[in-house]
Amino acid sequence: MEESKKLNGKDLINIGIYTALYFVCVFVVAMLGLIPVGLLLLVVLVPLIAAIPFTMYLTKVRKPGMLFISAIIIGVLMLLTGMGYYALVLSVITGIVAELIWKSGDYRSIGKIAPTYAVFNLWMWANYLPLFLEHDAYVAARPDYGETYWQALETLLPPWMLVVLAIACIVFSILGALYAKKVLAKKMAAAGME
Amino acid sequence: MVDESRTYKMSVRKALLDPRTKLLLLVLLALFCLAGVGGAKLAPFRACLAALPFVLMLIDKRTVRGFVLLAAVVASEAYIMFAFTGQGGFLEGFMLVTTFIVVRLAPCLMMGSYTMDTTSVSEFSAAMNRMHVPSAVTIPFSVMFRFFPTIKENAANLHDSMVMRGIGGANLGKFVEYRLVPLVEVTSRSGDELSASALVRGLGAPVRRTDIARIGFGAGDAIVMLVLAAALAGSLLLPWEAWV
Repeated sequence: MEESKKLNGKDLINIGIYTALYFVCVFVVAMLGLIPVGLLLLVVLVPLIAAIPFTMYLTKVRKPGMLFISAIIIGVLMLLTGMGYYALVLSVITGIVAELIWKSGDYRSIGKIAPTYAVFNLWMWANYLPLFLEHDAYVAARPDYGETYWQALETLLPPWMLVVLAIACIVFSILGALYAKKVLAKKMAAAGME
Repeated sequence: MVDESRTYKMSVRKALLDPRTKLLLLVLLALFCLAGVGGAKLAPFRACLAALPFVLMLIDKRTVRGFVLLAAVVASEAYIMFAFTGQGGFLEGFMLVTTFIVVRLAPCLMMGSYTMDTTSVSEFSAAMNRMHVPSAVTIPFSVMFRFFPTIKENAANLHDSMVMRGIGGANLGKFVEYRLVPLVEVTSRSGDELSASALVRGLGAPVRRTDIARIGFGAGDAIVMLVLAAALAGSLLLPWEAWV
């Protein structure tokens, strides 16, 4: 049976549902993120938990554009909830790259799930950017806080942490995807993935 | 974002601000308050901008949340200005990061909370249609908001049924196997039903869709723009540093 490669109404609805499931995972963990330590756990916990809905999403829709649309929607949501436009900018890029990786496996390669998922998740990293970067601009904007404050902050949130967070995001995404593949092996076989 | 069933009445009354104005404000807040574009010269403009979500919340009767967030900001500012000593230690480090996040993110989060609270899904998709966002994005977007309550309900039902069978979800492995996988399955099945009903109502049809939600720029939007323009002009042109 040869299905059309274009997204139809049903696919768009599925994209919405699975993006919602994915976002619920993000949201539940982000609630923990209200305490600062939880914020850092975002890149550890979300990739582990959200791997299940995401893998099932990849099993279900399998048409060009799916990941790109999901990524844009998540970026818009981040803008709407007040996390800034960074996530939107980054998610457009990660969405395209994840889409290309997934496409290179012809939308059915089990081996491509982990790299696709790792790249897709990188949008999260954008939420940290305003906390670690652009300190200088922000310091200039708030001179009344004093020099000690900025020095203490600089030691607590050094820019190299960003690299650690990005690597953590990738590593835990891959772990999450491997686990999801194990749990969902039967479903993926049934869906004809290889 | 607001549940459709509750906001049907609201969409008859026109909202205070157009969704597009709220989007613009969110971007402006991210630019100036989160990233600190413009430096010290624009401080009055930044203050106006940061106060705007709070004022909007008061006008739209979201006072409780507004005051809670405001209290968090004031407390954090007070901590940074007066209580912070720079001696180090765990507690101070913890407080420092917490207050920094609050001060920096609060105006944006406040605007975000206001936007999500006062914009119905149909208003937002109407706004996206007017901005010529393709339906490949607007349809999943509205479906997504339609499904948040469903997911919550399904999760609660699953919880009940697992408790009944004596499967507690304390560890992550069990949680994934008995809660997450079934949740995705169940939700995806209700999605199939939604697809069927939506197709019957002409979702896949290649025509331009119309919107019930009445959006459009009005007096509220004009006032917000004027205030911001005045604040920007004032902080750029007036020698306000001399008065402080």
